[in-house]
Amino acid sequence: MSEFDFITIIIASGFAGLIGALTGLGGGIIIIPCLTLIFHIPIHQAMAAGLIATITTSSGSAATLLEQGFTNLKIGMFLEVGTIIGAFVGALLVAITPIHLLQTLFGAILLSSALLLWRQKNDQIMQKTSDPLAIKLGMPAQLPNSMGNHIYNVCRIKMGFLLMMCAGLLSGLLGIGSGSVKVLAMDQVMRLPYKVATATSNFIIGITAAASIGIYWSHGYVNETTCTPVVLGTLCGSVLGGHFLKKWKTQLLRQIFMILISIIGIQMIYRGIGGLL
Amino acid sequence: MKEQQIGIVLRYGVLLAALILIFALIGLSIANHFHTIPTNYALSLMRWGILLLVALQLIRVMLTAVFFSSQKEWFYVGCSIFIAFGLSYSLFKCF
Repeated sequence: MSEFDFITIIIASGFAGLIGALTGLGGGIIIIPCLTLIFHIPIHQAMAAGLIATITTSSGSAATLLEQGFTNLKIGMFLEVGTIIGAFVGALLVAITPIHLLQTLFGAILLSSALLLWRQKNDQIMQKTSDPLAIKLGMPAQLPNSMGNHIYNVCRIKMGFLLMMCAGLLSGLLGIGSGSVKVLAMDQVMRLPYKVATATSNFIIGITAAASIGIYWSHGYVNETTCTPVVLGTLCGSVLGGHFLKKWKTQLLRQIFMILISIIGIQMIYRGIGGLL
Repeated sequence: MKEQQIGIVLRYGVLLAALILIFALIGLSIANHFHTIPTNYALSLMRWGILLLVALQLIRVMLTAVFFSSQKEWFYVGCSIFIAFGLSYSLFKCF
């Protein structure tokens, strides 16, 4: 790898870390196509670098987001249990599941979610009451904003937990990060404020990615010379992203998220149909 | 223990990993230009830096468990321990 390539990967990773921290998606969606299409790095090495980028984004932005009070640790840990269970079930079912059909279906779900977000012009209307179970588990918390702190409600946590199991299942079956499903579940189903959803997703995606990286590592796909510029760039981008999250408008963040999940959806459908034909 | 302390540990952990990687890059550059140290040492150092990032996730979950136990939130302590076991199993099975 030349010095020019090295610096270009750092810059691209910085952008990926920034967007990943702002949207709660990690950084893989930008890193993987960039490494494979521009630098001709084999797909499995690029996927491993994408997971490392997700871990770095999660760790780099977590400190700032925890300090700002956006991350809800209780919701994060509760939902991560669902993801871990789903990931183990996914790993068990991988041999008997029609993967390409699942990829196509997942792509279609993401595209329809993007359409739903596009039609939803305004920010979420705050829910008047929380799920009784959420209250019992002490999940509602304070959201810091320019208008002063106010308590937000948490809805449909059982449905959220089930969706997290699906996210884990997809991670185990398709080898993808599940940031898109996490943010969608917290934003659209549990009706959390968007910034809380992205910050909480940011906190837990690193754990999910760490659970997946072992397989890539044991197969020798973690290439040190590729991952090093990715880590350095993503770290700078994610720290900046953590600082920008408070300042940027929710509607803009939602639009960026919508574009990114559309890209993931198209990628999934392309891979799925490619495998089915 | 405060919530923010988990973030502080993460911040220092990531910075340490980044420093190791930068140090390894300098080592790799010296190895390539002056052949004073073997390239393998620098690559091995990079591997340790990346491994530290991965291990940091397990440390993060354990710190979260400690945080919840200081708050006497036993349900979430259980959740964190379950995640820590799942993550450890996944990592140790592969390495």
